[in-house]
Amino acid sequence: MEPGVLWLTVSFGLHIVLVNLGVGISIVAPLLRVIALRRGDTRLDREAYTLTRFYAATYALGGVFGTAFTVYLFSYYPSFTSLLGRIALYNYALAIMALVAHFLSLTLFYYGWSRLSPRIHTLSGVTLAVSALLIVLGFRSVFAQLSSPVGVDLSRGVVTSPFEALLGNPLLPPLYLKSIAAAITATLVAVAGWHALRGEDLARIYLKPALAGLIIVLLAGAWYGLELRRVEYKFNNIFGGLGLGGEPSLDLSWLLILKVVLWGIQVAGVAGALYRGVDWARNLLAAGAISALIAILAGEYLNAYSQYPYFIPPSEAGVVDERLAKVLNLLSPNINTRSELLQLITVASTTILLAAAALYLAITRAGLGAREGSGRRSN
Amino acid sequence: MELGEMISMLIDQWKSYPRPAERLISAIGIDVHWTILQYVMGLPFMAFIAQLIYLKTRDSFWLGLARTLVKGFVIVFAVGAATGTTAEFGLILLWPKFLEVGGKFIFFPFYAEIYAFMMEVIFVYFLYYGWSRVGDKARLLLTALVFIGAWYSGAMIMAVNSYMVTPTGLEPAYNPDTGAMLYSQGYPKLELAIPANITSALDSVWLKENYVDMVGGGEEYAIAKVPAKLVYRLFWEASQNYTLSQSILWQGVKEEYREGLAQVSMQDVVDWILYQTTSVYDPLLYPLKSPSWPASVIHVTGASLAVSGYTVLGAYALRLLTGTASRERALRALRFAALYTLAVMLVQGFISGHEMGVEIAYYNPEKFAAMEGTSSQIISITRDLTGGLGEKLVAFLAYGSPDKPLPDYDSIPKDWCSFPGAPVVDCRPPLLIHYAYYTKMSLAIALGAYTLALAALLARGRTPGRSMLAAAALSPLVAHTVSFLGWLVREAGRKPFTVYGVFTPAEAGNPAGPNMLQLALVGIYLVAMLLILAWASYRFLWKTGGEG
Repeated sequence: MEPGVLWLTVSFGLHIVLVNLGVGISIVAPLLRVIALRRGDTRLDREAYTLTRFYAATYALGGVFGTAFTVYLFSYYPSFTSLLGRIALYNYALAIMALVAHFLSLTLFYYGWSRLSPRIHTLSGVTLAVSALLIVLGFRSVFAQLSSPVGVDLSRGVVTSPFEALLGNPLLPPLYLKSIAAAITATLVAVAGWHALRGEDLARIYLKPALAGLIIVLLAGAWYGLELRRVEYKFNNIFGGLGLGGEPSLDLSWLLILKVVLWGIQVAGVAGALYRGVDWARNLLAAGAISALIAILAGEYLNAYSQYPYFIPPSEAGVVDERLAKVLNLLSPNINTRSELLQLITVASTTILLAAAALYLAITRAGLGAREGSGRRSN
Repeated sequence: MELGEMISMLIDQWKSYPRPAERLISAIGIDVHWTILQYVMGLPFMAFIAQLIYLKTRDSFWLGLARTLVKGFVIVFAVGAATGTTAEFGLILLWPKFLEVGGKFIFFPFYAEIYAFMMEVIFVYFLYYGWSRVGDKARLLLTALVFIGAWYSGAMIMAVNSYMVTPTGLEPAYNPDTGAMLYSQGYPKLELAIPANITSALDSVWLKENYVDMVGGGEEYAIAKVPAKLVYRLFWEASQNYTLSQSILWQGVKEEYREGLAQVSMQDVVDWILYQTTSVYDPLLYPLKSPSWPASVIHVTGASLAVSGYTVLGAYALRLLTGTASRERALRALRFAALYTLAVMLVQGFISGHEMGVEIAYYNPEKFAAMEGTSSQIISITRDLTGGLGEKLVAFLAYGSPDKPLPDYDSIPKDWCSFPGAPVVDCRPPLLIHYAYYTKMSLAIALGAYTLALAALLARGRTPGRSMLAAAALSPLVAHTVSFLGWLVREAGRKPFTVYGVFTPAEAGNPAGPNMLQLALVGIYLVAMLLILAWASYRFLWKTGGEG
């Protein structure tokens, strides 16, 4: 495997799992907070705060792997990064502006828990959720564009129709719906599983929404799969091995099967807990939680690798000259990165820092067990 | 020249460089990031010193102070990371061609910086959330890892920036010993390794006529000192998708090679030369060999430490003025901040600032001339307001002798880097930086003198009066202004270039980038976000930190 591809895969995987949980928490925590305020339910309020604290403690960790991904992309594939900057100008601009608002919202929502008036605090929760939805929209529109670009001229590297490039890709609606539903559902299942493992009854509040979410994920996934028929290269790589498409160049149907199995485990865990009780289904629900996280990874890798080794499948890129074909190929990295020393530095640094991150999460229990400087004031 | 005329000339010159709107929006984005970053680099170091004193004295005041400082930088760190991401994507969107060149040839500092960033993220949160879960020495170690991570990160980013200011292999166009301007001999020049397949196709007489000096090499390549004007032209031709037959190089291509090489892309030619050059220098370390890197790192780190020091100083002065904290604790913190900041300012002024100035004077004579305002077109502080004494002092500091001449701005050919079709009309840096530089220096000297007076007062156990405290409360703003002006001079001082002598914002930018309205909206948005951050810092740090 190309070193560039390897490091992109590693950083993207670590990033995307934490980001999905972050998106989920950004929507679930403000909702819980609003319900808690309305009902005067201190238990729900504490739950919302705990989730937010987890997000605050792990946010930057997710962010740093995203930055690592971008830097690896820029180092190993500089010409493609340049092209991407030009053709995804508006998509990234939306995501970045939302990202800045998201950071500030998280700061206000977390640190302002008992310090801001309920109205202002709720408003910060709303901006936290809305900015999360917009970030996902921005980045998912980039993914849709990479699968099958519209509103851009690849050979000139320019956007020809900003609106079309940003929101007009037919793959975007199912991809976006699927992504949001998957992030929220995975978060609900993961949190329910965590509570179940700790023997906490609070797991129950997540079960019905999680089951509904799992059904929506399935339907949105099917819709996305149907839309993907227009991108033959990807479709064949995902479904070809199951006899549903043409001959795959890289058969990834096993990853799809894995995803379905993981979905099934989540359904079993959630449904079991819902109808037979959390205690009865404790281990099954915990397995569902782990499956939810692995399913995120499997789904993202399936989507990304189904166009390997191309950044944009050749059938979708149109007529490209030799130079552009090279730019769009993952097997043509920057020759200055072909240094053994660089790989040694990457392996050593990544290993040491991941070990330090694991130690941090173990000692502070990802912020859940810490008594940090600010503490929490009671309402 | 009348004042109004002079101001109009200065502004016109400023606007004449390519892509002013994109440059402005990038400046806002990066400066917002830098404003925050200074605390990430400075506050952990102060917290580290406070903990060292705590370990020695076991006085709980020092641990409390360290905790307050840690709380401060944790809050700004997240936003610093956010603005860093914004700045990073801003580079991708507004300057994609710069990133392409950067990614190919000077990527390593960015690459290594990722591990610095990871280090910061992991240990910042480890320190914050693990504060009461680890022992005193482990906490000290975590704090050290936080500031080392931040300094390491700063050093890597400065490697790229230093390369942009003084590219590796740069030979300047001014000889301070003789006062000779060397533009007519093709200077400034860049030392490049040119693949043998290119040199063999080029006529040696043509190369000599164009001031390309072959100085060594091997079988696979030749080492050549190439005029920056030619390098810039080749880059510009590559950005215009020229083929070799459309290039200035075509004049030097030997007859027997012409048929086979006519359609070769200039982008390929430029890439081959730069890949060969980085391969000879070292593909990873090439940008780290920029001659201005060491001084730049020390100076920029020092600026962060100073801004952080003044902010702590200002915060505790304000506490004393408003009576919102224990007077005794606030006075002790004020004394600590004053002594710390004084030490930093001494190093900044007498060591790193001086070294930085010497580097600029040697490698960037055009920028040096603009900074010192050696032009008859403006009222020069160095020359006109000091009766010539200022020029002698500057020459002594820069060249070690008061008798050596400063480069004369008006003698630098306005078109030394230009050619037909080039997007640049004035190859000299804006004279406006003369005033920015002297404002910066005046404020820095005033800050240093004030800090010395305050530290002396506090060291003698005396309590500063209200006017001294009010000045301390204002000092963070002044320190930020000094830091900002320093960056302004550094960045504007290499205009019209993005990478000095190599390419300008015209070639670095997005050919179909955002329009003025879109850029203005983004700028307003970023400023609004900064104001919310300032309010959040006030709300969560100031209003709840009285006990710290």
